[in-house]
Amino acid sequence: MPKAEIRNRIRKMRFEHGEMTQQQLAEEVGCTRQTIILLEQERYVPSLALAMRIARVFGRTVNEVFELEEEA
Amino acid sequence: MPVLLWGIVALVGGLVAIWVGMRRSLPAAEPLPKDVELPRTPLQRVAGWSLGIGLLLGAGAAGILAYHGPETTYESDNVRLAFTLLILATMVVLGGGIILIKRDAARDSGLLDERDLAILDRAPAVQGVATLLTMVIWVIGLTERFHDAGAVPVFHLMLLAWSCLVVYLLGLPLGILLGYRRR
Repeated sequence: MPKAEIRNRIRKMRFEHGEMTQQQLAEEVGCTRQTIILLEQERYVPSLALAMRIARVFGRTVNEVFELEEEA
Repeated sequence: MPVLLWGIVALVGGLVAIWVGMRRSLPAAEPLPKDVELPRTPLQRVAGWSLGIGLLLGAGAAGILAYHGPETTYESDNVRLAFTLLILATMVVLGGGIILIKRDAARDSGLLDERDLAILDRAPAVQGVATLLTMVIWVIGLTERFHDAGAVPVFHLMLLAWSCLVVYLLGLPLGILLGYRRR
């Protein structure tokens, strides 16, 4: 199986969404600020439920927020 | 080797087992950029406080034992009472921290997120091994020390039981704190 990385645009979308703070996003999706920081740094891969909640906050689909990057 | 040294080896052996077990079971997290600072989560704070206070109280009990020696600690009512109270306080603090953490997890209070719960789930993974290792080292030590006498003084068996309990209770907060440093 090819090695895969999950990339995301959370940081960019947070700023586009009224300069939302990490704490505000964390409260909206029900996680800690530490988890949001690790997500933005791409050090943590969220569960599908958390990914969907984040996408819903930004009014986007999961595919617009997260992207699967596969190495050949 | 004196009994107290065997006790120290047993406790250190248990803690090393927790440390090595956690490191071996999970890969190290990649370091974050220097300008990124991670705030502590509520779970980290509870684990940190309970571990810190528990270790202080445990160190107090160990200090009494080291200062007076096992025989005096057992024979003097006041010293034994102080030692026992400190050990009980250690267990209450460590156990209380665990109860608070588990209660939050069970109530879904919102303080713990999916990452906290995953860390909490895998934190006890090495508790059993560490406790067994502590017990094995104690049994070897007591057998070596009291082989010729043919009997082990009661207080030493109490020390064995206390230290196994303390290592078991230390295992969870230590496992949680190490879990945040792993991927």
